[in-house]
Amino acid sequence: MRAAGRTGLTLFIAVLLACAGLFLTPQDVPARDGSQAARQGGIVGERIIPLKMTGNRVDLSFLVSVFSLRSSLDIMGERLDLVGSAGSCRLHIGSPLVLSRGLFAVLTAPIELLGGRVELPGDFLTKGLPALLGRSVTVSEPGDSIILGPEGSGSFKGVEPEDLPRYASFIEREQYLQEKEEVKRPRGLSVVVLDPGHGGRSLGAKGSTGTLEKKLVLSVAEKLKRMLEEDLGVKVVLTRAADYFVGLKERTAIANNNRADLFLSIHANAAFRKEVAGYETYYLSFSATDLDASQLAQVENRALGVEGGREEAPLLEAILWDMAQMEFLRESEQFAVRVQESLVETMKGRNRGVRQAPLAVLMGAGMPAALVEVGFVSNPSQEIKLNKDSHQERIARALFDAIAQYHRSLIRGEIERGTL
Amino acid sequence: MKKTFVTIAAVLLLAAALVIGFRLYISWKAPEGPVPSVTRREKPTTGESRIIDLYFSDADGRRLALEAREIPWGETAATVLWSVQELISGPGKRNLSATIPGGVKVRSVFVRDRIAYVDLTSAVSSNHPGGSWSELLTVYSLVNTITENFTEIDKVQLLIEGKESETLAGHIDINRPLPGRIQLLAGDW
Repeated sequence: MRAAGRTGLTLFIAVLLACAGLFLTPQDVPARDGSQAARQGGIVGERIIPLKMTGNRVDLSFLVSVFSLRSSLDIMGERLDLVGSAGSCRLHIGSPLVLSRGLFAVLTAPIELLGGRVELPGDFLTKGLPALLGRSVTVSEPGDSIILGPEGSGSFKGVEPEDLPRYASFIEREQYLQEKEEVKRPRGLSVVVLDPGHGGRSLGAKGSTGTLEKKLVLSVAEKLKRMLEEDLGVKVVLTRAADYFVGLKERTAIANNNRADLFLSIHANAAFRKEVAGYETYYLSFSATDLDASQLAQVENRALGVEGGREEAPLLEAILWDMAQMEFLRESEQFAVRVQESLVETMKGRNRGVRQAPLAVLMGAGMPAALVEVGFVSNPSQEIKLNKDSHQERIARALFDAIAQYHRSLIRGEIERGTL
Repeated sequence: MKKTFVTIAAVLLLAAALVIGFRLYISWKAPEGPVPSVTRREKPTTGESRIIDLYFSDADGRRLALEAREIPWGETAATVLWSVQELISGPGKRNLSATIPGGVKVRSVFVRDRIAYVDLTSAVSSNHPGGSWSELLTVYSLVNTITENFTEIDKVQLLIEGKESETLAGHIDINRPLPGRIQLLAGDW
């Protein structure tokens, strides 16, 4: 009996030890040399490494331990330098840029500092890592492993500063380009991103007879898309094509990653009182008092050297993702004015004005951007109209006219640039 | 004898493993962000009262508009909470409109480094009518009422169910402590 009890106790302890081991394992594996975790791949010199990603983002500490990188974040928590066996690169917290040997690559999302941990967008693996390792990098389809090519199989594929999209740019860009006399001639729109507001679990405004903002704005956006493609010949991308949830930052990312020339977020309005009716168009507001310290530093236009490797390195500083819209405010205002005028004239409704507000969906937009409220679903008579297909068609036509007019103004060089 | 030794060794190992495991678990689970330093739900108790300006909306939903109201005055967090509850109860004047949807409760208010943290229940999102400007008026009726009546507070951080949120109802950025915007009394941002 005693012996049995002791065996039972030992077994119990073993199970507990195994459980305690579970806590240790996730912390322990990346801390070891990556080569232990790596298996030999099919091709000579190829390596396969297990990958841990959360929501298409990868933790910097994981890469540092697996690839024996040296990383240093400056004291302000802004600039991050990474050095690997074959080279180095520089990143800016809050920016999607990777800088190496004077060239730039743009990631699909900004680098973020969260509670002391640096998180990189997943495409850093394929776009940034080759600069550090000198090997090609592919990520397996389910995203659970990294496949490294043999030594010397890959290098950094960056572009010259002047070839960057404007949103992923740097503060001194215009000046830099003028010095290089490479400012491009004004051209019209080629890609427009339309953003039907809300979707999925985000219902948006609700009318008293059950009209849902998320449904009617999708319908308006679809009609507008068809008009723009057929009558203006521009490429149109919708941030959502059906009734599903899309995050606000994701919407801007879709616009930025499609290199859109124009972003229009389409919403339907609501007020606390049902008598309120009319039309409003918004563009983003920035006020210095609302910015945090790192953003203020940018406004003060503090330029830093970004790359030690190149001799005549231009003084550049990556623009923070949240600040991307700042460079486009003057253009956004001119676009918003055209939208509002066209809407009020076509719909003969009450003009509630062009307004500025701190709208989250416009913050990271790296192109002229506006948000239009195409009528109040909280107003019973406007709600009835907003449900009608013919009414939605007229709204879409009014928005089309505004975009077409903005397009012509761009070609004629009438649109002023600047931060307001 | 040998078995006792093995058992003792195993127990010691187990204890060490549990301690390490637990510490890792704690560091993994450690919450980020501010921890409430002051939470008050009761009525301010000094017996004093003051007249404050509550920021509601005009009937047309274009601008913020004032209504004066006398409230009990005491310790800051408790008095801020009281003023927010006055906002929730709505305007007395006929020509003003409420700015906070029905069913909203204040979970807590705390003050740290001249920032008032106002934690509301999720009804502030789910019951909100929607609309960019309505949402702006909701946010700044809260922010202005606090920053304009309490000289010891510079900014207001709104929380929903204890957490920071990107927006209340999908439009206005509230992901940082906000300073007051008295220009909204004129309907301007």
